[in-house]
Amino acid sequence: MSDAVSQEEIVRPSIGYRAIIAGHSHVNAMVGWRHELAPTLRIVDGTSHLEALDGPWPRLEEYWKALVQHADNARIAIVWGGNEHNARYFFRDAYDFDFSSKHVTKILNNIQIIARSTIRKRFYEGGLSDLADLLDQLKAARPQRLVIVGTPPPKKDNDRLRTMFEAEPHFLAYAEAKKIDPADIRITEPHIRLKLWYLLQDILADEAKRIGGIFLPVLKETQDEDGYLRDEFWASDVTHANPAYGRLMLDYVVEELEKP
Amino acid sequence: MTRSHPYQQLPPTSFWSRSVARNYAPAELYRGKAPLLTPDDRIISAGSCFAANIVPFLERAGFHYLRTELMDADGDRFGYGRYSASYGNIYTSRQLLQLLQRATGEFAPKEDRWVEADGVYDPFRPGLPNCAEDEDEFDILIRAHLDRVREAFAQASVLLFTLGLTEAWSSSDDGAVFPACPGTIAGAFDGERHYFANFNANEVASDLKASIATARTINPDLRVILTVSPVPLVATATDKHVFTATTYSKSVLRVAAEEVASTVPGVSYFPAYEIVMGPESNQHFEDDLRNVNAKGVAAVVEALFAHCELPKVSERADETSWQKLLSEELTRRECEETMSDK
Repeated sequence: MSDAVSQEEIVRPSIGYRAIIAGHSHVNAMVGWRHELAPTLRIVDGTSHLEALDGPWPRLEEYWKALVQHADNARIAIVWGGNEHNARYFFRDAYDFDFSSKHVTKILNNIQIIARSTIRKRFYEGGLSDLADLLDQLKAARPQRLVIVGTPPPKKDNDRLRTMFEAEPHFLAYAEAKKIDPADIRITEPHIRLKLWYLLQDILADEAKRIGGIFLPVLKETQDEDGYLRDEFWASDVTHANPAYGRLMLDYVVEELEKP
Repeated sequence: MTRSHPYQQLPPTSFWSRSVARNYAPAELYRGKAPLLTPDDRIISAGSCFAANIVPFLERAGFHYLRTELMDADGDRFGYGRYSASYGNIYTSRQLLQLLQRATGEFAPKEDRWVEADGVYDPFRPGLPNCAEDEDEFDILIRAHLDRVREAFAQASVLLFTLGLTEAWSSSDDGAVFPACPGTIAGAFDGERHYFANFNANEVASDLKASIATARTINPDLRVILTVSPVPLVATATDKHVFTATTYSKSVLRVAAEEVASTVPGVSYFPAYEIVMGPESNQHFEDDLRNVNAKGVAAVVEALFAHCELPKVSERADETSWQKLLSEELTRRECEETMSDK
């Protein structure tokens, strides 16, 4: 077992509520990672009373059940998913496509354009329907505040991203097993990945609104002028942001949770 | 004295007793000399749902079935993804003509969208699984779709078109023909705005000729193979019995197809209708006596291929989405790794 403090041992200031942050892999940049066999709360370093819900990976039902159990009168921040767009579309699909976006005006005219609702549906199939279920359960548990935190913007530089995944032995082994030549692997155009991410953020915002919660979009200072994740916030893999990004976002989350 | 007459010189296929009552061979129903399809062809298809049924056979045989607009199969209840572009079933020749006219900018239907609570629907593709979320997106999607349609016709060397129906519902605004009666799949029926049409042989032939002429403004070398769908009407909006209405409809289509194939260069008629409805018709339908079964489709394909130059290599490369698998694997890996505090 790690050095995580069990919930009973935490000495909480008398602020009248518990503040808890939970989520998938993108929460790690904000609170650091602890692996626990069972869902466990600990005070996040550098905060006075924000508790991170650690637990097993992948996040199983028991993890989210634990969050619901602690939700009564709590202020909760969730960093849900954030890789739905990468999991489905990081590499170009069987056919090239673009789609219209309210946030990014660039659109390729020489390829197929698909409906936003098609992608929205894929995102829900890729895990967002579970978020919707979780939010309903959390709402029923009567928390003081529910905050859904935006997830890191995509990284723009496809060449640099290529060097990252080509240095990933497990991924290359997987490609080889599928008889796929890495040279044939094409990364989706940056502006399309950016649109996909914006759509994902819109969905997260809609879900927050649906249950009377708050959506906390990523801070503008983490994005470049086009909306991509700024270089100084890249982690060393294809999809994640680094602890510097996490520190900024954590302060932002704490501020939101502590608002009267 | 020996009497001579023109029938003496005719082949057995000219005689019912020698080619139908006995020695029936469906492939002999087509009498053309040149191969209908060759390995170099880039094939597109359109028409009633029967037109989509033979596409898998073409692809398995190694023919190049051209696709310029693809769709995910799940949720595609109406088969938009089964055609070269996602125009879906085109039941009438008027619908084909108007599609081509829209793709070439010659026609802009007034009733071009149905705005409903859950999105904006395309009256000409009402069953698309995912509609536009707002009118701005709708405009972009329609423009892109018509570009893909034009691209399909531009790249193709041959169009397989199956005539399906003569009955249609139209917009009173400008005669725009819908693939389905408004209100059945999407939209709402309006007796003032929507009217029923049952095209006659002259109208169908005229629309077909205009369709081919319009298609050839995009691609002057496009060859056309016409077929008539053997699938009966699911329902008729006339006051006739559905069987009588079906007979009329198929007769009109058959006459029109003959008229066009015999007068327009580069157009052939392939007798899929006759093959399914011929002497072995009792083996060609499902229990509902409407849908053509696998044996019926196979009979058509076998006869068609007898008049094609088949590709040497069958089975084109499988184009399943391995990219999707890779994307999933990459993110799964990275999520696991970040959890391992790498």
